[in-house]
Amino acid sequence: MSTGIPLTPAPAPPAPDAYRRRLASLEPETVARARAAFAALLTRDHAVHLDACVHCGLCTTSCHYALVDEDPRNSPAYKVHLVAEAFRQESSAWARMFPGWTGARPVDAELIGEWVDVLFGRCSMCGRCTANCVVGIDVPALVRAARGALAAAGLVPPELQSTVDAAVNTGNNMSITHDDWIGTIEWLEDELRAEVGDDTARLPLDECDADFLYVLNPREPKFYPLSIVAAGAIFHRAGVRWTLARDYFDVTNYGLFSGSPEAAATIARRLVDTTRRLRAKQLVLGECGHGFAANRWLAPEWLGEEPGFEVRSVVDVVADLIRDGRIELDPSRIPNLVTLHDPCNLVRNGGVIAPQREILARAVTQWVEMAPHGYQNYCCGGGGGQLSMTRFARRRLEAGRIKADQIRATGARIVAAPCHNCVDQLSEIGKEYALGIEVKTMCELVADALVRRP
Amino acid sequence: MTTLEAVTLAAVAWSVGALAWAARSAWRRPSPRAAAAPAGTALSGIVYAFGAGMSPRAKESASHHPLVYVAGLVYHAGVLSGGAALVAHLAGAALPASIALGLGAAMTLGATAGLVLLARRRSNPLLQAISAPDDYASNAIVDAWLASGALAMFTWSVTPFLVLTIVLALYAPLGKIRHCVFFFLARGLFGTRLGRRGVVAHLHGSRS
Repeated sequence: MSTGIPLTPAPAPPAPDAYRRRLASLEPETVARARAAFAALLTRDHAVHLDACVHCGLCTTSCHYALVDEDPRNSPAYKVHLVAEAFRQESSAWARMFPGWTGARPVDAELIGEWVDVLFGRCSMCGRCTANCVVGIDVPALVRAARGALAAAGLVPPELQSTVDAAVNTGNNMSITHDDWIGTIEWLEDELRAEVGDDTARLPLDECDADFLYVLNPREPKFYPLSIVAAGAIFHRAGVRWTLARDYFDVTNYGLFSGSPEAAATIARRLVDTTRRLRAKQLVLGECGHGFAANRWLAPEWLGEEPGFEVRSVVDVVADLIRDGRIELDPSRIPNLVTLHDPCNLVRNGGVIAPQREILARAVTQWVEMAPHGYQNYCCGGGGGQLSMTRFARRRLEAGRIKADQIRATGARIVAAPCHNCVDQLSEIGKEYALGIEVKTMCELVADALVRRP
Repeated sequence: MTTLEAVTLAAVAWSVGALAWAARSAWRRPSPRAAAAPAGTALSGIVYAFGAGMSPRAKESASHHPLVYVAGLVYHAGVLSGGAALVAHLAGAALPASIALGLGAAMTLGATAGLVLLARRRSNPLLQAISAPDDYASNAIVDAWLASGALAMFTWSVTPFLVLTIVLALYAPLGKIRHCVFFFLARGLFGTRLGRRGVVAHLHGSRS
């Protein structure tokens, strides 16, 4: 059966040093493309925020990068400054007349180099600076605009760009082939039946008119297949009508992080079309912070239309199933102390804050909040495409020290993280800082706590 | 009305007009339609942004930097006092001595706070890195204006105050002082986003 997914593997990214060499000798046409794209990408909100910033620098102590390294370039204020310089040049004749006085600066090769180092390499776009800014400057949106200009000029760090390309070219960011996806689901269906002790349990594919289409992070079929079994066990036990899609199953959208609205829209369009094709009542997004922000909040902007169906996080759905008594949990099955990580794009930027707490209150014996938590929780350090940009991995792990300190202070042995990107970063910082923790998604915890029926 | 007062009024009119034009230009840029079904109301977010969200407990920029926060409050209280004194003068209202002294004290404190913030900008490596001459000039002009306003309240010599009002009014739309308008727009957008995304309902108790 043809799925419509082009099976051509994603092009290999150029070697990192080729990227560095390219940055060091940018062609004038490339610079001009970036400059034109930057001007075109600036919206009302960008302009308002850039003109409202008072350059006070008080955001510095709210950024995990700046907290571990006092280099001024780590401050969100510096990141805004780099974008504001180009904005003044683009938007104000006065600033262009007196650039030295006003701090206007054209998008040139030097500024592009700084944008790459600072806006790609020192920011996870978590928005904690925005939450704590005197004014409320939307720093991630400004960073994304500048990243978008670099994307238009083909200057996104190749590791991140290859992730975007993989999604655009193959339908998912890990280039999982159709046969591998279907084969994995068939194998996992056997695992699910063994897990729930019911030969009728299914991981349905392409079933029309279901209550919801469930999309997930490609890391799950690739590295964490039991996470799919966990979700399947919950849905089976609750008796919901759900389905996976045979073709487009990827909840992620790295266009959000590369800054390319075109790539982001292309990726988002597929989930909207797939949900419509299957006539699912809802699109339920697997545990992925940025996937939630992208598909719930930004996709309608990228696509310029309302989806016409409800878009929800699986965390919200599972909390409903527990609240409605459709699944029964035995918290004694998880006796160890659990703490909760708040993925920035699900919580601070997404508004899904209570359901995961309701779940923990019912699924585990004891759990404790981090300090701070919820809206004010710190980023794990893996967002903003940082996990894919291996060239900045050392900075990412160092910035993760803030999260490591938070986790250590709770004394928890299990960290619940409703985001697979966060799971990866938390697992890495768990090793880096010898935290001795186990990191689990909400679905994995709930599946562990499910009461087995005879 | 003296010639100086007339020029002052004209400068203020220029300032208001130019600031309005700047805000209009920014507002007329393309803006993607927020097509996602809201999880809350924009109004709830705006109320938060201009209400509880302004409290020091709501943001680390205030709670982590109490001295700078207080200096900022005093600075802007001084600016409001200066504005009130200017309006009163141009309207020909005779201020009772106690009120004049109060405004003068607020402007004196405001100018002092402004100088503290200016010194911070001059000495902090990050602020040096992100500051243009406009940042220093904007601060210095406002400080001088506040000092001249205080002088006017204490000595009744308004000429320096009016001259510096002209300087301030002419310069305000051209540099960082534009934030006097854009702050409110940005804060409104910030609140709108928080409200629509349903974040506002969960904002209390996120620290421990």
